[in-house]
Amino acid sequence: MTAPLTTGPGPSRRGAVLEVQGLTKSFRVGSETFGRTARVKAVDEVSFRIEPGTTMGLVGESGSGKSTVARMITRLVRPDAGEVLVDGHSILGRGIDARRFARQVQIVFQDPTSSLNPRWKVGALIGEGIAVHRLCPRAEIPARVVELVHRCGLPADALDRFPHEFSGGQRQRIAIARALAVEPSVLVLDEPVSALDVSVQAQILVLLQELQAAFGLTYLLIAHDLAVVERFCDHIAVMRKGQIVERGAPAEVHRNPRHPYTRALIEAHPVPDPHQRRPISADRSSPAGGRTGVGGEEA
Amino acid sequence: MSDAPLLEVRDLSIRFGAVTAVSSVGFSVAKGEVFGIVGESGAGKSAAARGIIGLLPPSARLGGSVRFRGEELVGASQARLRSVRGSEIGYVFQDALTALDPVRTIGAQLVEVLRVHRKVRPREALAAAAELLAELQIADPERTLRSYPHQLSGGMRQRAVIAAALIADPALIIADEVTSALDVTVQRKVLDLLLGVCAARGAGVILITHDLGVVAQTCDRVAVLYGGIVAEEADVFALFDRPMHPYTRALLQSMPRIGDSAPFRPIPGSAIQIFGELRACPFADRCDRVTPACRSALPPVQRTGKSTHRCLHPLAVPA
Repeated sequence: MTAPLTTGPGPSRRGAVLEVQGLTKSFRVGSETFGRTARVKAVDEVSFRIEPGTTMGLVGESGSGKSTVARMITRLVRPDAGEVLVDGHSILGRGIDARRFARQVQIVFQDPTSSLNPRWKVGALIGEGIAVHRLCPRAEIPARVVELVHRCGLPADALDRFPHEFSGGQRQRIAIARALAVEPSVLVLDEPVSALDVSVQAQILVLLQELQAAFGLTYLLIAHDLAVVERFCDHIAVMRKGQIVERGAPAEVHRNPRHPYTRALIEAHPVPDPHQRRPISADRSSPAGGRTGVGGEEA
Repeated sequence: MSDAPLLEVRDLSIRFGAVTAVSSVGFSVAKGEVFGIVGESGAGKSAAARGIIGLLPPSARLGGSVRFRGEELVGASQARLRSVRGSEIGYVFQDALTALDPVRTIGAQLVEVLRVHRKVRPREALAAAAELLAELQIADPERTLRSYPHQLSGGMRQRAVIAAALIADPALIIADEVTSALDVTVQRKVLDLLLGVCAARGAGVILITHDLGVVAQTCDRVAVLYGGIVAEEADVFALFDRPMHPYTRALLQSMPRIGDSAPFRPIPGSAIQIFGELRACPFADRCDRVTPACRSALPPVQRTGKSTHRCLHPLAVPA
């Protein structure tokens, strides 16, 4: 029973090209009252292009700007400069055309506990987008929701239950079904498995791979686990301090990292094999400036 | 390893009302040993660790035995437990932001530990705190002592929490998911520092984590928890090379590794919550080797050499 979703019209039953050009965003930090504000460039001239049906992994430490990129692509944060194009159409404007293409880009957040309204039943959560975008006659919505629930590996009785009745992995399935409901062609996955247990992480990743194969979805995966990224992505881009410092095929980047930060990231990855142990030495030099400084970080 | 264990846990059970968090867990930690407790959320790792030092809420029911240097801690008085915590067993909490008091400086919080447990003069305590922070490679210890928690980065804050656990020179450190909230590059550094300082002082460490990579890199022995039982306990090399329990193997296989392009291999289903007494193998519903016998009783602890496992159908028959 893995027939792809076929109901409903819509142009989005295949992946689209996601293109990002010169995306830039800076935030003001510090307290306005005390007049000690500064502007921090969270994202600085980031550009990339993801081909239809492929996956790009965006890796970097917290504060590197990868989540801000995700938020700008999904119109949750307005960029200072730059363009986001889906199949060559800008989605940042206010026009009807921009909105139509913006719908094609959906996001799955890290923590399904906070991204799902706890007072809504699962059926309503998944069906909301279909109704908002008027993707089918109201009477057909329940049938669509049932199909999505089934497709995402949730039990059939899930519709009448609340999010808190589900485990973390199942909640993430709900979030994925909700994102899929509006027939997107691009999914932004913002750390979709890092809040989940190891054994469940793989379940969600397998589901995402199946959905990509079935619908030809284009993925932007934001993650920090290099092992996950290597197996899941066709391309990988490493971000640091708002800029992409390295990109390429995952195996190539791992074998032959050119940027010192990428090297530090790979070196710090704990290898799950006691035979490949790196000796503990308290005076080992810090990997190319992890964000550990007391000074400089403070206002 | 040395003869008498530093900590010996036997038949430890913890219940919260109808929910059973831990069922007859047993393990021992030797002096200077790094003992890993690995498991998924809800496996009972944190409950077991908190049970050891009496940090569970009053509603929890604790049974079994916890012997620390020969002294029974289960049923010990609150006053005794309070003095054990901090001075003899240090506990490093996962979330540094909630573990530290936001309105007091790092220095005040470190000095407090020494003042309570060691009756040291303030000036000497402050000097000891600065020394420890330097040992944890904090660049400017004096300045950090004057800082408030929110002024520090995540990695620095976690080091301050580690310092608070270590400052009274305890013989055992319990580190509960200390690095899960940190970036990978910082994670490695903080773990190295924690274990380096413990090794220098000969303290035993219980490292609680969900990350098998961290276990492989740092631990001497490992207990794998599932559904509140120790599914398997073994030397770290034996555990990774020849896992006995099907859960251990499934967990190892579900973990992606760098340079390995095999497809993901998830464990079907999800972890269960245990109500009342455990009368079956908790992994039975997800196990590919399950038989009716697995569901009729909790498998007994089987000992082979220095390893134990709780499975009726273990994977490898030890030589």
